Amino acid sequence: MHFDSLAELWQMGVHGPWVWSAYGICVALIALNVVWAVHRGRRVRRDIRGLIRRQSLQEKQ
Amino acid sequence: MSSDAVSRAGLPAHFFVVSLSTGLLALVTWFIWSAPPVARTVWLAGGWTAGVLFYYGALRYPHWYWQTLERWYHQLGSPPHFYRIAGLWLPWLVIIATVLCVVGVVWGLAFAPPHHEQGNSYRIIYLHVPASSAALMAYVAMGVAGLVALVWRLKMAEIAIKAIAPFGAVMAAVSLLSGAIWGRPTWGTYWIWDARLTSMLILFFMYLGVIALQNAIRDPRQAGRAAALLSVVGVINVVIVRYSVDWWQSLHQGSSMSMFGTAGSAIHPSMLAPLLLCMFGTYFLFAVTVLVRARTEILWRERKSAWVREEVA
Repeated sequence: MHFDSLAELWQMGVHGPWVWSAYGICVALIALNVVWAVHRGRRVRRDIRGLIRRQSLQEKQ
Repeated sequence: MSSDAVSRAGLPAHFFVVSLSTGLLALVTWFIWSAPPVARTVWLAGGWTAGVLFYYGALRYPHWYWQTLERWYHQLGSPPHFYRIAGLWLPWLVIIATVLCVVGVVWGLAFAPPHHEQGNSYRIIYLHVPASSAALMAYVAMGVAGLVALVWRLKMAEIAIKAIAPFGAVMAAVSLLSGAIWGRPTWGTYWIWDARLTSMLILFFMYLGVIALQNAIRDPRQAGRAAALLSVVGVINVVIVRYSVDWWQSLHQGSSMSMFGTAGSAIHPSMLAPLLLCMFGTYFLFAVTVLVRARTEILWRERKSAWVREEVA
């Protein structure tokens, strides 16, 4: 590792706040994007299952 | 030559795909990698051999190649096939993207040496450069899909645009945010109405425009065509973003990585290696999110068909 300790890695000289805030915000955005895509996939599957169920109920009536 | 004779030769499809991609990859890395000449020559020779093998295959079995291309076109153009193939590829793409991004970011943050002028603030490039390049690449991909959607009316091309746009918007936002946070300690300002920064902001709005257009028009085919048109026209802005630092006086630095320049890359290998890992990782992340979104869109559009009902049950 380039830094001698984890505390030094956190401080990054004087640039710690800039580097870590940039990574924090941007990694959260990228992760949210993935979670959002997966979540929408699940919701669409659930909606289609609902459609099928309603249709089969109507057919029975 | 008949396809029967080719199948007797017993060459699997993967062989050609792998040899072509390794050949191209070897050439690209040879140009941008500033390792000692010996290492680069060995690397290139290996890639070149793979390329020659691919070329030999193309000459020897042209029909097989043509048939494979045609098969891919039909399979990727057919929503159920695409859905199935994407499902097979996704777990592997997730693994590759995660490994590349995690190794690249940890290497860049903790192990790469500091910059002699910027100190540690330069470590933001491991976020900024991959995101920017992915945002540009994604728009070009959307433009190509838009062209296919307009010319051949391929439904999968419209779905591809819908799947790519959110990823592109997020990457453009990441590029702008990380650049702003880096700019404050380095330039003394978060933002400046500079050619590169402004054209990148326009790219972000173009992505939002494509998304908004898709949501504003009720009929999916009509919405798809409108979005395809905006995707094709918007590619001109990608060219402006790319060359803005050469065409206008800009506070933003010029390109440091050069594929075809005689000097090669201006970045030291110890900093370039993690950057390349992050960039390839981001491209795999692109594949992951686009395939997930495309699969969702296929399911919704084909919700009345029998195969979807079997799939979700």
